[in-house]
Amino acid sequence: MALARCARCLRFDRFSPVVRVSSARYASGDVSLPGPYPETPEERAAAAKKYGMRVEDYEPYADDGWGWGDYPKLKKQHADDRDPHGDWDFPEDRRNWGEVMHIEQDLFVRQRPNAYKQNRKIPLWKQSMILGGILTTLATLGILGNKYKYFVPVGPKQYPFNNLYVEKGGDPDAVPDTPKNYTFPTSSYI
Amino acid sequence: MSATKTLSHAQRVLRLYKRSVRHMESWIPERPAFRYEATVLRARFDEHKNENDMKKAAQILQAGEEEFWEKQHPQPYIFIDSFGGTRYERNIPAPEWVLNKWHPIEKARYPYYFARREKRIAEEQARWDQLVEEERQLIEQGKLPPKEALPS
Amino acid sequence: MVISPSLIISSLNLGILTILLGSIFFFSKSYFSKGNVNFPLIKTTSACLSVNNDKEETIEYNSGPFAMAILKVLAFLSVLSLLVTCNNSIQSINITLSLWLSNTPLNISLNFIYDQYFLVFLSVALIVTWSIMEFSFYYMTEDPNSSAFFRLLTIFLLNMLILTCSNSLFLIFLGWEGGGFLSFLLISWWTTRNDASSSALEAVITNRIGNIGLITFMALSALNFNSSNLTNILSSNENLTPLLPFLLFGLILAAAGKSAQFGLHPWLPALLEGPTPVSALLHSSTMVVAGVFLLVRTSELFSSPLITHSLVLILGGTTALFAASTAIAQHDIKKIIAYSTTSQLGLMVTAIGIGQPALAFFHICTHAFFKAMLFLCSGSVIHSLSDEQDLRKMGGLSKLLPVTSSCLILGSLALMAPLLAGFYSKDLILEATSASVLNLLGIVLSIVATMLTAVYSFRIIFFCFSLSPSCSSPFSHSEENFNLNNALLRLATGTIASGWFFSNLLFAPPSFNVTSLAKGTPLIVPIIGVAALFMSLISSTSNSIGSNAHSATTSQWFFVDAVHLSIITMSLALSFFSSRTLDRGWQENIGPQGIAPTSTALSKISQAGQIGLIKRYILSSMASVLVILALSLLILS
Repeated sequence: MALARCARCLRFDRFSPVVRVSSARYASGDVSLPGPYPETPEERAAAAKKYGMRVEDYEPYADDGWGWGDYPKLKKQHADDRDPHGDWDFPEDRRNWGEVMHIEQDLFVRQRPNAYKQNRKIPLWKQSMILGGILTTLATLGILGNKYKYFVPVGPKQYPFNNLYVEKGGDPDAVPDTPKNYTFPTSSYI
Repeated sequence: MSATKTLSHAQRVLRLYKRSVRHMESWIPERPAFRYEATVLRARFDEHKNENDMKKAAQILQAGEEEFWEKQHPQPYIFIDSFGGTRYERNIPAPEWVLNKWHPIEKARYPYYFARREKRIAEEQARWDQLVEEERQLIEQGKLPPKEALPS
Repeated sequence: MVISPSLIISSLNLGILTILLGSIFFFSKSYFSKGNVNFPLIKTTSACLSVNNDKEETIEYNSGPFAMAILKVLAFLSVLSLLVTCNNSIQSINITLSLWLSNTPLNISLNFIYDQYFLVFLSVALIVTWSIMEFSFYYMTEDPNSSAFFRLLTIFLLNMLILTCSNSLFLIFLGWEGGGFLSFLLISWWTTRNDASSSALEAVITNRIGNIGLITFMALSALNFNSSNLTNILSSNENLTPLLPFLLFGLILAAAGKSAQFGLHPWLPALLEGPTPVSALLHSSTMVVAGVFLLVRTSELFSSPLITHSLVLILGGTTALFAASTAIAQHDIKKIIAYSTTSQLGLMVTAIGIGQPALAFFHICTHAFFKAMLFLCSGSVIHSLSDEQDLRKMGGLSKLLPVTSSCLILGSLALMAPLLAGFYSKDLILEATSASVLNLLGIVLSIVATMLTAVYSFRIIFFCFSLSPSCSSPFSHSEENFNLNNALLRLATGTIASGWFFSNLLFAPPSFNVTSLAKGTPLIVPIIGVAALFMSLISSTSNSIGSNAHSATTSQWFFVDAVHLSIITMSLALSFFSSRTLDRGWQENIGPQGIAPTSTALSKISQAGQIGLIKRYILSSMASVLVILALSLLILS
């Protein structure tokens, strides 16, 4: 709460020269983050203190050459999942002053889509199954529909008077032979 | 400050009740039907209001929360000005100190306003300095406890 | 000099474009006001400091009437040019203004094509935009920066017109990009709103994917046909090249991105973060139909390969079904109308798929009127309820908003009832689909989507007008506003008349040989849909399958979350992989990091020879001469 009070003071005191306030959590300025990977329990304790965490909660990333040093592993929590009515120092970011951020913090700011939503009514695997099921069904039906056609068979329309040859603008002097569109079945009894 | 909060049993019951009624309102758009169902829901809550056995009460609350989870609305109604609503954060007025950052050319377009503003700022600063000076003198005279220093 | 109709048309259209371009520079207040105009910022802050600046003369200036006047004139001009075209049965006019970039082999020029498609589109777009401008003058009066809003709308319209009338692919790309950028600005209009800015980003990024398709098409057509001119590309005889599938793929990707087909659709509901006039303008007649319009323009390329036809057909059908099924479960009135737009876009793409681009275009034109009107109606309802958008908080509005409610009912019926605009085109598309031999699934999907159309339309009517009023706030505005009523009634006239007008006077709709069952389908299917709606309203979804299905439709088939998560996970995994294997792997060994130690080692070896002994130098030069001789002998023999 002290921090919030400080921040409010600063906000109120608009015209006085800006007061430099440091965090109660870790000394700022001269410490460069992250420090080297902690090897001994004492170093771990010091690092945990630096990040304002309990030693039991503190768990650095594995030292596999990424250069993340002693930076702690934090929970993946999107800003949308934080309390919107909470008493944050920066309510628009839902963040407190001097708070330790996740190493991939740019994935969890409010401007990014929230893909890490906790507590879904329908779990993500089930959602993917439903989506995949619908799409697979549609694809199968599409392949089947390409294979088995359905249509009303139609032919070109037939007209009397030699398919309206003269009416359609044909030359009346050179009438071609009448096309035979149909034949009558011949009876075998005659 | 911190996002983690511990709720008491009574607070959890109240929140469960409020959320249940809100989600029920989202499920049933028709007002009279909703009122009837809400009364029934209230009766279900009132049934256990004299429960003194804490263990049993906790079980009932647990069951109630699970039932709410099952029956929650996928798209509950959100008030327009609250988080997630359609008017949330719309047209927040720009903070007043933005005018301090204006370019002199921009300021020159509103001479009367900015002349008066400069005067007001000077007055406010003078008043502030006066207050600080008074407080300092009071501390020196021992009438006020000394201020704790801000962490460097 | 003889005044020919084509001269009249081309000068009218060029004039419209020029006036629109010029008017953008005159929206600023300084051209009209003589006194000192107060900025809104000053207004609010002076209230804070209680500074009474009574000495300054304050004039409220709004560029809305100017924009309305400009668009009104242009709309009349465009109708005039359309009438001239109808009278003289002009197919298309192709004019080249000047060479744009001369030093390229492609001869990029300012090349416009004024065919029937463009002329009809121009009139429709201008009339609709005029109404929307008028409406936004009513809707945006309380916005602190509404003057700039009209300018953005006008620039957007200009980009859209450039896209539709240009013949050069580069100009098309200009309009295409400009539309995307302006949509970004318009969606993030309420800049302080976080959701608005992220939605705008989403829209602009999805549009980039579509742009990749358009750039592919441009590059391949330049490679294939050696031209950037659409007419040349379409009339070229080298159609059957091996690159053609890629060309068509680029086109389909571009259209799917711009017209929000399934897979690239999430930006379309995100558009709703903008003010309602923006949704109306972008959803109804402009932005989203750009993709379909591009497909209509290039439909001759789709002549030969049948597999592409089936692909487009299935894509359109899937979009139509998806959007319609999502729309029936939404509770935001604008979202329902937006998904309805997506569904209609799917239907247009279906029409392209079965090889009837004229029908798709017909549907674009009729759809513009009634969809714009629906959006304006929803805007009127939202404004009256002081920005309440949820259907559940509406109800009993028919007595309070008579004009709006009758227009809303008219717009909903436009897709279902005969003799209204949407029915003409939708009926034809459904008939053509059932007469086609391409794919049975396309027919089924479009018929199911049509059925769902009726469901969500009636749902809006049911929630808005039949229940008892349940709004939380008292009415702050009445609908007795000149601008609102004018805009609504103009579009209502368009909704009633445009279908008949276009089908009888402009297009000659083809006739299809279909059975009487298929003929009756567009009429029967909505009735089934409405019956299904009332069945579902009285029965509740209490079982688990029902609730799962309900969740699936409300959350858009769970598409967004799954895709977001998979994109994030995949890109993170890929970048980790490349960082591990390239930046810290191969580049360390043989890249810039590896060259330094290697060259150091090599120079150390050669250094060992440089010890100042003449005999050794002679020996080494002799050895090299011998090696060269031996090699040359080997090669020569």
